[in-house]
Amino acid sequence: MNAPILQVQNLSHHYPDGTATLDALSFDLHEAEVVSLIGPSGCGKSTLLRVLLGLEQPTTGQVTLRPGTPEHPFAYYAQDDNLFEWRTVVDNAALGLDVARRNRAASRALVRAMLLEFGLDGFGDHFPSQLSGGMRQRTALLRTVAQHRPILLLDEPFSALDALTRSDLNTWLRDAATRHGWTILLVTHDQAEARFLSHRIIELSARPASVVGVSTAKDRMAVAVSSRDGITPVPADLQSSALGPSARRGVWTTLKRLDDFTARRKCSVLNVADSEIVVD
Amino acid sequence: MGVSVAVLLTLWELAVAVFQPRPSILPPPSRIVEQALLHAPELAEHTLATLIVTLAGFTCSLAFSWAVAITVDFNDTLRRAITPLLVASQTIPIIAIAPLMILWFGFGLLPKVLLVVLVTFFPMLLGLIEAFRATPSGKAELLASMGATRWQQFRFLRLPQAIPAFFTSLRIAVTYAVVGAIFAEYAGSTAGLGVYMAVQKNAFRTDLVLAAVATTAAVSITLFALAVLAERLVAPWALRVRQDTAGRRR
Repeated sequence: MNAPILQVQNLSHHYPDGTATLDALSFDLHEAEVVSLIGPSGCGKSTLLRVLLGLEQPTTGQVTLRPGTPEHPFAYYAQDDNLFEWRTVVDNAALGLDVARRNRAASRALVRAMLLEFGLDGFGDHFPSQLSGGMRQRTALLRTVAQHRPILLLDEPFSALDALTRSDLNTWLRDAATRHGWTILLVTHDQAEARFLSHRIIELSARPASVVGVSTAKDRMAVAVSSRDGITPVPADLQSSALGPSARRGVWTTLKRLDDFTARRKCSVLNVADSEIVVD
Repeated sequence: MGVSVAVLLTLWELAVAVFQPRPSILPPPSRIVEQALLHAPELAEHTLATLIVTLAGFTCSLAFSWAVAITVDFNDTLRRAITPLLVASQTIPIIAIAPLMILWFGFGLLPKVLLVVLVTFFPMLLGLIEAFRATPSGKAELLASMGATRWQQFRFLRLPQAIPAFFTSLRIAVTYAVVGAIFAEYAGSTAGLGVYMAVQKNAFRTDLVLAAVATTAAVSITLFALAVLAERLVAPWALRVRQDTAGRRR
């Protein structure tokens, strides 16, 4: 396997008042991989994203990018679609390109060429207020993808939508991600969504978030690993001694290559809380 | 609205016909219209004078408030220093300064324009500063994640999202401007609807006072409508956004 495009090592963050949000968090992300970070509400997932985006500074630990990755590798998609009401669909989608001072006509052309795939054909000149909830989200997604950054950082996408639209969009997102080989770091609190979309799920403890609960996790530190490559080695960062003995109480499921989505849905996640298995 | 005004005027006309008060106390609408038409040239002359004061003052306010608001938006310290003063200024009855303005600056155009500026500048400036500040943090973070500079934040987000709130304060301020101009003239002047009203009142020409009042209302409504029109042209999306916020969302 190639070097991961993103490596997060021992990342901790607390606010000046001492509130800890992240605790020695370690994980990695490979190219064309969809990884979900899942955890209870308020566990610090959003803080992690803010740290990755450079909007917050980590207290300790580091984020390493594979050499050759641009300095700002992330295209960010927030919980809210955050569409600009004064911009049309095309102009909204081209926002990141405008910020990057790309040629206006060229960026509009680039975005227009993508409308069809995003189910927005014929709506390029509409304003956000004229769109349905699902179309708004797709516009926001197009805006994220159009930035052409190596990693898509999705923070609870579609969480504001009704169940039906949401499941449609998830199906669409999964197919598009596979088709284009998008590298996605997805943050969600929805188990089913994480299972449906991702190759690998990293479950976080309650706040302060840590992958396997080095300091605070008791039984919440479930990690399930599925892979497209059959037998999956336990990621190196999770074997590291830095995580302490409690890390070993995680449950590791290695899965056969499962192209079939239903099968993957059944087997890809195992929760420690349900099983109490201690792996030595 | 047209119907209710018509009903009100008809009732007024009938009441005057039945109770027959002296015309200097309450003239019927028909007489006001008749006299207004008869004195149309001088009414027009005074209206023009008022309009010049209003627009001159309002234009100054508009330019100053934008200049100051943008400066303040880029300087947090300045904003924190200035905002409490602006809020406090809202409690000062600026109209009451009108006689002082005449005392200080005489009967020319200057004191009247200054009063209009004083009446409209502070609310518009405060409205603009607040509007810039009301930028949703999620959108700002989105731009930050794209690597936007402070200037790009302003250009792509803070400025456009402030437009609907700006036009709201503009519509209010433009009617203040008319009232401010009339009051400045009332306090002391040689021309304008305010002077005209004062003179006709002293001559017990209630019909002409009311004709001037009606003209003032017409001027205010026209300016208000122009402000609405300007918003439709500048920010056609703003209307839908306002309906959205008023309606289903949040």
